[in-house]
Formats: sequence, structure tokens, C-alpha cells
Amino acid sequence: MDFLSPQRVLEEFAATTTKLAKGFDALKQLDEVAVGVAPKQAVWKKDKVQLLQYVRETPATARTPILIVYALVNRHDMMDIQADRSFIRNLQAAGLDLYLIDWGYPTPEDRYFTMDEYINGYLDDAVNVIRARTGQPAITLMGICQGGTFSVIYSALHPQKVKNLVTLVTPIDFATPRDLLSKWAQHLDVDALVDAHGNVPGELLNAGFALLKPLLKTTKYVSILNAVDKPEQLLNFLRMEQWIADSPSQAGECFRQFVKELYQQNRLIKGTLELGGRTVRLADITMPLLNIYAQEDHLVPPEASIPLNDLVGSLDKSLTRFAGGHIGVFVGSRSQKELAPGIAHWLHERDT
Amino acid sequence: MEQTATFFDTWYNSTTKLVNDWREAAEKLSGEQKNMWDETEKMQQNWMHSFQSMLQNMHLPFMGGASGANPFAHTGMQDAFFSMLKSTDVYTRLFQLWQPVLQAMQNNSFQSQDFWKLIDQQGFKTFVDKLFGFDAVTPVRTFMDQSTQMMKLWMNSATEAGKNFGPMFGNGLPFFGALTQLNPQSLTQWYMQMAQTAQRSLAPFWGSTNTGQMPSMQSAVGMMEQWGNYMTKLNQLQTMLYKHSVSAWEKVMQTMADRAKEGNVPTDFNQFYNEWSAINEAEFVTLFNTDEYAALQGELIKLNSEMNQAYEKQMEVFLQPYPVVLRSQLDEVYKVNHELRGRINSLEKLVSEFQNTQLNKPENQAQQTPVEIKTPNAEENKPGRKENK
Repeated sequence: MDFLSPQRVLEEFAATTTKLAKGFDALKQLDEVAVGVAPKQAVWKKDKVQLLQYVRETPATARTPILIVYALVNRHDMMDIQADRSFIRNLQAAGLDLYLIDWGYPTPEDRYFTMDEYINGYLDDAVNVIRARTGQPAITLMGICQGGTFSVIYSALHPQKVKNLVTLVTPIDFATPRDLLSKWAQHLDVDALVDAHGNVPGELLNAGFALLKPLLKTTKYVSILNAVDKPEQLLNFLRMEQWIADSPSQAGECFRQFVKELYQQNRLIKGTLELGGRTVRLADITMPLLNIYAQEDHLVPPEASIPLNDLVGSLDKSLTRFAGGHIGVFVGSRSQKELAPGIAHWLHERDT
Repeated sequence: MEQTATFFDTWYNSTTKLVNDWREAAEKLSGEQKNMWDETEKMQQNWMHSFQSMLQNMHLPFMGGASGANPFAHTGMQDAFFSMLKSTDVYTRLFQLWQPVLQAMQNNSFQSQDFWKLIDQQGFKTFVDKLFGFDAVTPVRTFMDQSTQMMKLWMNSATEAGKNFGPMFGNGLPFFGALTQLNPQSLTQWYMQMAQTAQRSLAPFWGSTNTGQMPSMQSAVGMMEQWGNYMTKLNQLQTMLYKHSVSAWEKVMQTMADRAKEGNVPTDFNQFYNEWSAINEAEFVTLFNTDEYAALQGELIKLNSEMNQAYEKQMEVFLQPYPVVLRSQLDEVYKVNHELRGRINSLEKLVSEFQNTQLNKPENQAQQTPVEIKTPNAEENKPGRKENK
């Protein structure tokens, strides 16, 4: 243990302090780091929700437009974290016409919005807008995490409007053994939480997510001290940190329903979930399905995503395992080369 | 701004000097010096002391709210720097705590039964508190002490106690800010101002609430009971984390001892930290995945939520005589608005369906467009715009 000589101990402390001072200096000179900057325009807006279309320089090579449905938790910018690590740009480069539903930032007046209003309201409106704009009777839905669950529910209720369904890191079975969020949700009095807060603060959720890997934050900040004089590495790190911190509050009623009926009662997989007066039956999903899960996902374990393929009525269905974690799937270097091109290839094959 | 710049310049300069002094001292140390470890320890302690006071002081200009006092151009950078500070704090504390153990291993004098004799146990507790953010709930304990004193005062003189009621709640406010993690500063300041205004204006305080003296007192006593229950559960959670930390640290110790025997030891502290971190994380994730932990965490969230509600309710009692809009009243407005919006949406859908039906009639088929869907006007908007966050 060479590092335990007095000289090394002092050197270690001195080095740490120097890095900290350099870190202070570097951060002092930085302004906001930009995330999610791929060009896009709003084509529709209702309340705080808007439909964005990513601007293409050349015409899309696939006819069927794609609506990306991100989770209500955190922001969609993670898919376009920086120009050279952008799931969005990679999909665009593969010739796809992309739309995205931006859920916005709920304020106290939105606390009464339900899951039905998000799915049969905003999401259905957005799908209709795209159908009308493009003249396509059905579109591709690409749902991510909770947005994937929403997309699955929507596809079961409105199969005629969905040509293809792509789900990424999507929870379907909410009661699997390694699912820490599920374990915690079983003991959560969501009524007390929502009644007290109205909307559930994003900071509260982020604190919970941080506990899933309790030492990660300390470890990554200790590590980044070694890169405070490497601007590119520091900026990459800060972009991700900015994205993590940008956590919208959750509309209270929707959150209550999501926790109770999905996490606590696991109704989606049991076929007992009702939305807008209709039962959501996964067997009603008959369009082609591409279901992608992340092997090391600690938020949505693979076992929570995999069952979807056995429950849908689709004959054309694919299940794809991707190395990496919940976020790594989108920002990892392998993802840049394989994930978006793979999805685009699958969609092109079905773009008849 | 000038004051802050001076503060940071001073910190930067003194830190640089400290580092230079250490380097100089390190060069002077030789293996033959009997007291070299004592000297090193003293320097380390100085460093920790200097770092701790810096950490404490640096929060003041940032959190105090004086506009323009923040040296960072963006709050994200400020947050990142605080996270660097906190992580460095944890990292260096870990180093200090483990140094005697690792030294004993290096000298082949380590006995596993002596492990906890070599670890500073108060330092260990502080470390775990910092790791899980329990140091942030110190105001709760202060508040509980103050509340107990207030109860005694109430028993002696309800009138006198009434005058102090506002500040008492004020003292509890940082606690709520820390726990709810809503915007603590603005929430706290707002409530503080309201509580103080109420106290100044209500004379005597008890007589001016709608419900009168006894119900108010009962309500306050009820809230204190809730706080007591919350603290009890919080202590249980802390104890659970200490116990699992003990277990994790013993696993680390065993791993290191085994490695030392094989001559396969970390060559720098960062390597040790990574080993320690992996073992601890696995231990905690296992704990978090137990029903016992999940139930306790659930109870804490429930109690915290109920306290928030009770507090809101009590504040509304304070504010009722004043021309201010209360949160419960706003909630009613939001509810009605939401219902109205829902009705409008339903009507819009009906109109849209009716239009489609009309278009689908045979006599109108010639005018039909490929897909008959109402298209809202395109609207240019700045992407990613935050709305009233």
C-alpha cells in the first residue's frame, strides 16, 4: 500500500484540493450547457403539452412517421444529449421522420390530470395531428420507459392508428423480484403523498432514483475531479448532470393512478386496467412489435420488459437485448453505432 | 458581488498556499522521523478543519439569496461544484477513517478483532449521516427541543405562549424545506413572513382564530405528536443504515485483509475507494430490496406527507382572517378548471366526430381528404421551453 506513506498521503490530499480548486475555476467560467438541441419545431400545442417535429434537411426515406413518447419522469433531452451522442440524430440520419410529444412541466393547476387524459387525450390528439399532417392512416409509436407503457396502452386501445410499436426499456410487469421501485411502491401510501403535495415534486422522485445506486453520485463526482482540466469530458459530464436535475413534477392524479394500478396492482399484465371506460387488453395489440430492453437496467429490470412479447396479439414481434443500463442504451458509444440504425432497419422493412 | 469575489479569492489563495505548504512538508519528511505520522495526521486534521469550514462558509453566500452574490454563471454549475465538495468531503473522511486500519495491514500488525478499535466511531456515524444526507435533518432535532420548551411555556401561560407561536413554527420551517425538497428558500421565507405577520397582527393570538384557543392548541399538540412519530421512525431508519454500514465495512475489511495476505493490495486510495464503494453499494441495494426497509421508508414518506398537510392546515388557520388566497381555495379553483377543460375537450371531440360523420356521408365523399382529422394550426415555438416551472 504505497499510498499510505506520509508523503503519498500528503500528496493525495494536495492533489485532491488542487483538483477541487481547478474544478471551481472551470465551473465558474461555464454557462448553461445545452442539451436537446437538434432542430425541431412545434406543430401543435395544447395546455402545456406540445408536439414537436424534428427538422430534416432531406426528405425522409420511410413513409410512416414516428411519434416518440418519452416518460413523464425527467425530460426527453436525454435522447439528444449532445450532437455526437444523439439517438434522435441517429434515427434521423437513418431516414426517419420524427415527431416527439413534449409533456412540458406540470404546475399546481395540472394536479388533477389523469392517466386517461394523458393517453386518450394528449397522446391521441398528437397521433391524430400527425396522421392528418402526413396523410398516413397509422403511424409508428416509439415509447421509452414510462412513455413505452403509455404507448403500449394506447396501442391496445387504438390499434387502428398504430402501424408499428417500438418499446424501449419499458415496464410491463410491475412486480418482478429485482425491481426496487416496485418493492418500494408496494409500501408507498400514494394517497397521502399526492394529497399532501398535489403534484409530486421531481426532486422527490430524483432523490428516490438516487437511492437505487446510493454511492453513484459520490463516485462519479470523485471521478470527474480527474477531468476538470479536460473541457470536453467535463462538458459531457455536466450535460448528463443537467439532464438528471431537470426533473418535472408529476401531475398528482396521474401519478396516483400509475403507482396504484400499475406498480401496486399490476393491472396491465393482469388485463384489468381500465382507461376511459375501456379495458386495456394487451392481446388487442396486433401490429408489428419491436421490444428492446437493457441488460443492466436497474430502473426497469429486463424481467419487467420481456413479458410484453408473450402477451400481445402481434404475429410479427421481436425482442432485442441491448448491453448497457437504462440510460446507457441511449448515450453509450455502442448505442450510437447499433441501436438507432437497428431500429431504423426494422422499420424500413415494414414500411410498405 | 465584490464581497463574494473577495471570499473566493481568499479561499483560492489560502488553499493554494496550504497545498504548497504540504508539498514542502512532504519533501522534508523522511522515513527516519519518528513523529512523521503524527505530523502527517496534524496536517490532515488541519486540512479537514479548513475544508469543513470552507464547506460551511461557502453555502452562506450561495444560499443566503443576495442577488448577484453567486460566482457561478449558471445554477447547474453551482450545483455541480457543491456536489464536488460533498463528494470530496465523503472521500477524504473515508480516507481518514480507514487510514489506521490500512496502516496496520501494511505493517502486518492488523487483527480483525481490533477493526472497530481502529475506526473512529463518532467519525463513522458522521460519515454515514453525510452519505445518506441525515446531517440535513439536524434542524428537526433543534426544532423538537424548542417545541418541548414551548410546551412547558404553554402549560404556564397560554397567552404568553401565543406570542411565541409564530416563531416556533418559523423554527420548524427549514425542516420542512429540507424534507419536502420543494424550493426550500422561497417556501421558508414566505411562511416565515406570513407567520411573523400573523403574530404581529394577532393580539391576543388565540382569540382571533376561528376555532378558538383549545382547538388550535390541540392541533399544535397533534402536530408535535406527528413530529415525534416521524423522528422515531427516522431514528429506526438511521439505525438500519448504521447496522448495514457496519456489516459492509467488515466485508471490506475482510476483503482487504485477505488481499494483504496475498500481497495483492490497492496501490492508491482511489482503488481502495472503488472496492469499498462496490461492496457498500451491493450491501445497501440488498437492504433496500427488503420489505422491512421498504415498509419503514413508506411509513416515513406517509408521516412526512401527513405533517405537511397538518402544517398547511394550521397555516391556513393563521391566514384565514387575511385577504389572501389559501392553497385549499386554489385547489378548488384548479379542480373546477380541470372539470371545465375536460368538458370542453369532450365537446371538441364530439364536434370533430360529427364533422367526420358529415364528411363520410355519400353525398360528401367527393370532397373527402385522405384522412379526415381536424388539424390544429401549426405553431412555431422555441423547443424545450420551460413553462412556469
